[in-house]
Amino acid sequence: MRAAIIGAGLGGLLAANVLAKKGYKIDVFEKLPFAGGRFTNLNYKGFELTTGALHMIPHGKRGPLGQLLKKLDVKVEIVDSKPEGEVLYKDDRKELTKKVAPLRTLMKFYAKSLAYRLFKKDFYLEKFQKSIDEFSSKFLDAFLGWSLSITPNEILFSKFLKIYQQTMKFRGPGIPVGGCKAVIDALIENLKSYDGNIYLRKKVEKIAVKNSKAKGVFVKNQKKSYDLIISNLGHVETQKLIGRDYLNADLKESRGIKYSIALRQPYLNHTGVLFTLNTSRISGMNEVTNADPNLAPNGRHLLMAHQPMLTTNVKYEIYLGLKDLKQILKGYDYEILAIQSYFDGWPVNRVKAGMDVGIETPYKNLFVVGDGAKGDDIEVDGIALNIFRLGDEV
Amino acid sequence: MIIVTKNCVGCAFCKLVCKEFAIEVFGKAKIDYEKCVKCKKCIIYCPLEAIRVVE
Repeated sequence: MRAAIIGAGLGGLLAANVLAKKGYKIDVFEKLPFAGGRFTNLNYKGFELTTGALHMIPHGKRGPLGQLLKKLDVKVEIVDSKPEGEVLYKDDRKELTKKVAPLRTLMKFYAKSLAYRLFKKDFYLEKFQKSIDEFSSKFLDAFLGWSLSITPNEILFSKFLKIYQQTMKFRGPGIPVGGCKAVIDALIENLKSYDGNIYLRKKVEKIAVKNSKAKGVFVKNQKKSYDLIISNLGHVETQKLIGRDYLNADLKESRGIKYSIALRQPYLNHTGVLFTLNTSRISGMNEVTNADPNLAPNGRHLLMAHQPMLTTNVKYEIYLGLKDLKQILKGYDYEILAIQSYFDGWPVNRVKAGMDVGIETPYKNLFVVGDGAKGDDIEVDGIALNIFRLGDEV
Repeated sequence: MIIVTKNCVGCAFCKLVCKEFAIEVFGKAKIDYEKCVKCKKCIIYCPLEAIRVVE
């Protein structure tokens, strides 16, 4: 049995490894000159900057991605963050524990959760946010902005509840030693041990379908036949390759901006996340060099900050983000290495968290994986969750 | 001449791979033609095919 994977991003490579382990002969096609998509590193002035994601796995080695890598016997060292998180609120940094939120707010959340479980009446998280204290409300904004690049008016309570449950179950983040690229390199090495092929700079131009079945892909006008096709491009782009629309929903992407910052002295001094609450845009930051000093030149630190895009004016959003950073890093000697914005055809997520429609398509041997078809979890853990599903389906 | 089209979202892959440090990105890539040596690496690495050669 032969399988074609369209796109060598994290989702594509995870799918390739799962299928190779099941005995499929794998061909991965990637249009770019490197594998990893928005989950790898590019070296800039000696710093290992990411192409998209932060050097971070939301639930560390305990979560779906950590478990999947272990199941696939892919060797990656993940440093679980300690503390898991901190909050910066009114110039005060506090470790993130359940105790930082007022008991009244927690009770309200549990009551809403119970009510949802009993009556299944759903609503946008914003409605709950309006009923809680200022600190918890700002934390909700920061958590959603940092982890999902969305705001509380964009996610249903039921979907947030699932993500909250995953977070409580698997806990906080971890940093892969070597950054995102270490995960990608290990997946490639593992795939090669199964004689899988990765073709770089090979763009799939079309998916051939006939009688509700995907038959093959066209690369440089040449048709290649496969028994199974996995697209890592999201449903919208996959439709374009088929030349026929099958989606009933209007899927919207999530938008965000990432800042890579060089420091001479550490700002966070730990491996967890700092959620920034008194800002206009920046939601959080992590200092990955506290887990792996090799991600920056000797004696330097790499701080990564993220914000969701709340308007369509990118320059204005960056202006506000930089203003926040100036305030947060007051007194520190820092250099902005890169500002990277993600939206439209190259977004944070091809589909906003909570809006994903699953991995299936109307074609029984064509599946969609990646950030356009996540499970109910955060970023790459959401991607891994649906790769488990792919393994069950195929 | 190498130009940046409106498809650019500012992901900065081009900036990160440019060995001449000829590209700055602030929401959109901007090429410094004094530094650009036309190696076309930015074109190859652009995920949105937003950088092109025009005659």
